[in-house]
Amino acid sequence: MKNSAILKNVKKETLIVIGLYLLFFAWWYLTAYGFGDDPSEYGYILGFPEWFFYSCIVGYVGISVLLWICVRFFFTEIDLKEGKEAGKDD
Amino acid sequence: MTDRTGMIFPLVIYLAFIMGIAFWGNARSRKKTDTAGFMEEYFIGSRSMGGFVLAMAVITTYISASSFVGGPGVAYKVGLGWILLSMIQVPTAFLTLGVLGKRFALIARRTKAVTITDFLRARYNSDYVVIAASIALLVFFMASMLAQFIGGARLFESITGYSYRTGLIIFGITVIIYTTIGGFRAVVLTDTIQGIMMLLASVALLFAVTSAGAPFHRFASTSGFHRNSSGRYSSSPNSRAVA
Repeated sequence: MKNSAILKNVKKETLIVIGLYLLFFAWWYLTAYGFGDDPSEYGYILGFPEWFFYSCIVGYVGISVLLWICVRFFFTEIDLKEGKEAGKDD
Repeated sequence: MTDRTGMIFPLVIYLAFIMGIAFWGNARSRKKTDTAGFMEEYFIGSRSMGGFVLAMAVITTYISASSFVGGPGVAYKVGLGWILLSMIQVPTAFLTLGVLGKRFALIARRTKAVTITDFLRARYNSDYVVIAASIALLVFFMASMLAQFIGGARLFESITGYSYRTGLIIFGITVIIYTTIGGFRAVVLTDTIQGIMMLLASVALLFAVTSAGAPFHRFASTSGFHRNSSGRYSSSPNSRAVA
């Protein structure tokens, strides 16, 4: 792969990762704080409070699956032995 | 006394094992005779580590004494909010690797950088940057390593019954010797072994805790809420009679 192609790909992968981070953060924040403040109003899933179940359990499993999908389908393997000249602004 | 030896025996075997790995790593890096080859081998294992090893090294870096010694205690005291706080640290690993991983891999090879400081030197060409980076590294690593040593020594104290000071000395000497002698390859190998052990132990612990008579709804009931007939929890003590 040519250097410019490698760099283009690295940029694409960076954007994907940042997108996933923003998604994770939004999910983490909204599910953690979006179910209300009053513990007596809590709903429970598998014995966990709703906010905890969605934010910490679903969020974690979800981001792991999404990451696997993205790495598997959108990330490209680069040959680092031939990459010695890569990263230059050509 | 037999209790003590039962606890100390595995510890001694483990420390001997770590030392063995260190000497193996040392022998390996000695094979690279020229200085440049030795530096690459000693500090970064000739850039030859695979994905699984990387994953385990990341695990052992993030899972520290605070995850097993301090964290659970605080979580028990303050509740699920503490776990929420630790969950937002999950992206650190993939954000770092995803944004910086390939860039570092490519540019470090081009500039023959071995450490982050080398990398900064190649980028900024300034002694001040290098000195500042080195000092920052020293200060922050000291703070982070201090917590690890304290955690390890406290654990040693509570398990073996020997003094905190003894634990601190044993841990300190072991870590210094095996990192100095073994170099990166030995550290990464022990990281990998410890990563696998921690992973298995965490899974075993999860099943042990849940099967020891504490199903998940206990997590909620410890905060003073009881399940009533509608399957929801309420803070009213009367709802217990209904259930």
